Amino acid sequence: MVAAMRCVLVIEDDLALGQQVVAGLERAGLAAHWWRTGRIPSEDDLAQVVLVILDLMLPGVAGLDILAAIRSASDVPVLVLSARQDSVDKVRALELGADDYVTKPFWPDELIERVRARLRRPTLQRSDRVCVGALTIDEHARRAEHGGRALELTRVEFELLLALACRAGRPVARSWLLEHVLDPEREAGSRTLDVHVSRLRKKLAEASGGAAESSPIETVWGIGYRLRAEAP
Amino acid sequence: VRLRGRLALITVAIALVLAGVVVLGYRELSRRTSDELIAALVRSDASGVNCVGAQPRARHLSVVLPAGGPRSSGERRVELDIELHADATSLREQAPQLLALLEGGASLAARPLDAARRELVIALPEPGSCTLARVRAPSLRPSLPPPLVIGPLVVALLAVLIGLGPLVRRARSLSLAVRRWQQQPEGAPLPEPDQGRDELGELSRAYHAAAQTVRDQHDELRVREQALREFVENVSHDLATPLTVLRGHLALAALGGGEQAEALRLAMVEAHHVGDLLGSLALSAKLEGGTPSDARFDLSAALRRVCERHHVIARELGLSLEHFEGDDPLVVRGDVTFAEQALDNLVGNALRHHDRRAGHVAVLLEREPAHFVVSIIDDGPGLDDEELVRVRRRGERGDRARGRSRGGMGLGLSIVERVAALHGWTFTLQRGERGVGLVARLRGPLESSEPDQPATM
Repeated sequence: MVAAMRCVLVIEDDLALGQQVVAGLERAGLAAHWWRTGRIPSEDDLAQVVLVILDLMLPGVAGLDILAAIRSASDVPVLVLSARQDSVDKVRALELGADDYVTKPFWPDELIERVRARLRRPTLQRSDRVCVGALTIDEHARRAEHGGRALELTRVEFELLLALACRAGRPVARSWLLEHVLDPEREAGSRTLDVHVSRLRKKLAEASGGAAESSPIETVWGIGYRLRAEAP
Repeated sequence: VRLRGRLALITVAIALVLAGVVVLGYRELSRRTSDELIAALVRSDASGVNCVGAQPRARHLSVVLPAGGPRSSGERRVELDIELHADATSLREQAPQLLALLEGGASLAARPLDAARRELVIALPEPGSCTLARVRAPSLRPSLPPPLVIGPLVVALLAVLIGLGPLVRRARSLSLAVRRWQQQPEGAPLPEPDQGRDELGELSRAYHAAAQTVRDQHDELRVREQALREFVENVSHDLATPLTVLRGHLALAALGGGEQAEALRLAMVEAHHVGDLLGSLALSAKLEGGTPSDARFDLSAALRRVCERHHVIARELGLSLEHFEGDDPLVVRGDVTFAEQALDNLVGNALRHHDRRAGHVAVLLEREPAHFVVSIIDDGPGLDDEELVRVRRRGERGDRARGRSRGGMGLGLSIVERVAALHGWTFTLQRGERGVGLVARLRGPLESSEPDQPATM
């Protein structure tokens, strides 16, 4: 990781807000350049940054013009700050090539989370091998290991684990799992899903030698299940 | 239709009057004719008297009169019936004799018997004797010639058409102009009033002036309303940045922990609430008079933004907020700001009205073949049936949600309703499974292909 080298360009005219954004980025391990007026960044400027945070309401060159100029010169992700409840501006910004927007007022964490999400794309793991904590899944070979010990899984259990692992840390809806993992002809039904999950938890616990309660598969109230992103 | 009905009534009345005049005139004419005839008979200047009829006492008499009156010329033939009133036995013989007498210019005397009949006294050849003939005047002929009946009707109709037609046409063109104006977009110039100098023109101009006054007042109100709306939008815009800064300071202060931690937590909750209210206020102003944009957008990205926006505050409230949108963009058509605000309100409500720590709020986006369903589920206090109905009206909220610290202005759900209506979505609010908590659902149609804007994370 070269997190310390990664630099974000912040174009924000408000002194207090700019300071907070820069401080927030630095706490998150990102360096920041801060411009307090609207001007067109050069290609050199853009080459040094991994992301641009752009306020649309600026003195000097208007935010949308800066956005258009950035897009004509570079593919660097642009996150727009918009104080307006104005759809036209947001839609226009997205049309001009903005990658995302955050509407003021926002929480510092919200902005940082959005920056992180943008920098770690793509989030969906789609390779043959998926690793989550102590869990390793080889989709191609259809093998799964937990803590180095191979898991004996049925087809449905394997698909279930794979689906959760590909979205590790995020909940996956029961309806989605029913539709995409279970064979709808043979075993549709919410109860069946619970049974598969319960068996899978038991097998994971056996493999790691832990209790089934500390399973990496969590039940998410109202939604479904989630595979914890880090090992417990 | 009413005006036309009245015109028909007037036409009929005029026709009746005309017909009456004609009938009376005809009668008078007939009376004069019979009087003239009798006078001619008495004067013995009638000629060509011809009598037919097989009845013993009645004969049909056809008489040629010399040109009557100063303006007519030539001869006139007059038909009349006579009744003979000699005694029955002598009449049979007397009849041809009587006729011969008439033809020969017998001496006659005539007197009116009643309105319809005249009595002729005819001197017979025998000295000192005479006989009587009663003459029925031709005015009592049963039928009037048809032109005399239809004529007045036609004349009356023509008179009404010529007299009132233009008036009806003007009234009709006025109402047509008003109706056309109604169909035009707002702000179209008022239709020109009728320029006539009569009462109709006067009425039309009076209404035009009244309409102009209403229009002016309406325009003035619109300008004021627009100014107010802009003011609300500008205020919410100007407050957005300082509120963001305030949140930043609060979040930073909360990191320190210490004695003030609880106070800071409450302050963060309030700061979050103020942000939601600000959004609702700005959107409400926009909903009143603005035109929403109609573009394709990714609903799953919007929902993700909404949930991420509320994560901080869910954490501060000790609630779990989880969401699932699926992996792929979900394209719908509408106004992304409106949609986000509606979702904001639903998620914000679920969090704010939750009454216990370690409670749950789940946000789920599911796909049906041609529809999406967004469900916001919580295990909070929920609402009873009566509250479920009441809470959806603007400016109201459930009893359990009352209290400044938890409520809003009640704008929240009414905005959801209106955004749903604007997009053609259905919005339902019901109790959760086994009566626990509340389930808010938005369901609407999907757009088929890629969004206008790039999918966002």
